[in-house]
Amino acid sequence: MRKSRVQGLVKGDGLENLLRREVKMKVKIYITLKKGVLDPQGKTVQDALHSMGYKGTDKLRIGKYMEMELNDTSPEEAEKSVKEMCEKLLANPVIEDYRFEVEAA
Amino acid sequence: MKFGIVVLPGSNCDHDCYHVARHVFGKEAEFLWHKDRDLKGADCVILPGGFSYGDYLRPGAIGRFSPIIREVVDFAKKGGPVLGICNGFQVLTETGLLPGVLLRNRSLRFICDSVYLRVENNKTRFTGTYSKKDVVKMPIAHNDGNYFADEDTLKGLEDDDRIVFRYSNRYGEITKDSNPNGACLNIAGICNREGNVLGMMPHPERCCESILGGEDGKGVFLSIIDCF
Repeated sequence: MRKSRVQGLVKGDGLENLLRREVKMKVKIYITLKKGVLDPQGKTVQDALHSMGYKGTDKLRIGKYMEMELNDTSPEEAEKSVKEMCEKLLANPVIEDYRFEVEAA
Repeated sequence: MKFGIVVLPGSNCDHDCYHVARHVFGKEAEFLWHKDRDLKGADCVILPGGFSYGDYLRPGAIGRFSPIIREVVDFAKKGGPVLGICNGFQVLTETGLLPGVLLRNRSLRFICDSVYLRVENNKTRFTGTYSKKDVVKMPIAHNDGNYFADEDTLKGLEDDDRIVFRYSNRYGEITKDSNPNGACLNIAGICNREGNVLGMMPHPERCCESILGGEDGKGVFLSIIDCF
């Protein structure tokens, strides 16, 4: 990150701009099952709700929620690397979709 | 010939595989630690059962990034025989060497049982000593053995004769009742297009000695040994 700071100075960015570019980002990731993938857990939980009297519940699907912080990064870099993380490890593209939100922490 | 048995943190069938290779079949065998980058001259690599990295995130998802797995993938792509048993099968799907994924059992319960399998393809390096349609009995022990893939992938597996074992009843009939975990098409084991990578949920290494209840798993090891 030190390198990009130097580059930023060389390019003549103002201090305000530098601060904006390198901040701690908070990331929220949602992993959901693709349509058509059987979800036995979701079905069992839905059946439990039915037996509790919540008759209107339907199509209950269980997914995963993850949150993390990313240090010293810009929003653009954060988006790029989180996308990579999702595709390589966090989600399995055979059965799961993902979406995420990046915001300043 | 020499077997290389991968040891990931949480593998727990590694010693069973080693015992079978070494003491039942009298072949060389060596453990391959997950941080190593050397297959130590193995002719066949076994990814054993267990719960690598505690099954965190998804079974096999983290183990797949171990340094040794990179070597195993290279070895497989060059045509080397790789056998993934149980968690090893899950790791192989995560690497993409085999298609699909192993989902949570339909019953949501861990299953520890002995089941019948029908040999669907005896032309692979792992099944050459069986006859097609042989019915064999092997133990299963898993929480996530419910094989899933999309329709096109399943059709491809069938068309290319890549389904190697299917759950059946004792008469070799593929029925819903004989499917322990909800796997698509009763799939218990599949191979890659080239036939040198096999992933299977049942444990052949646990049924190679009659004192342990059966010898039906011997065929898998004998078939590999016959290739060398």
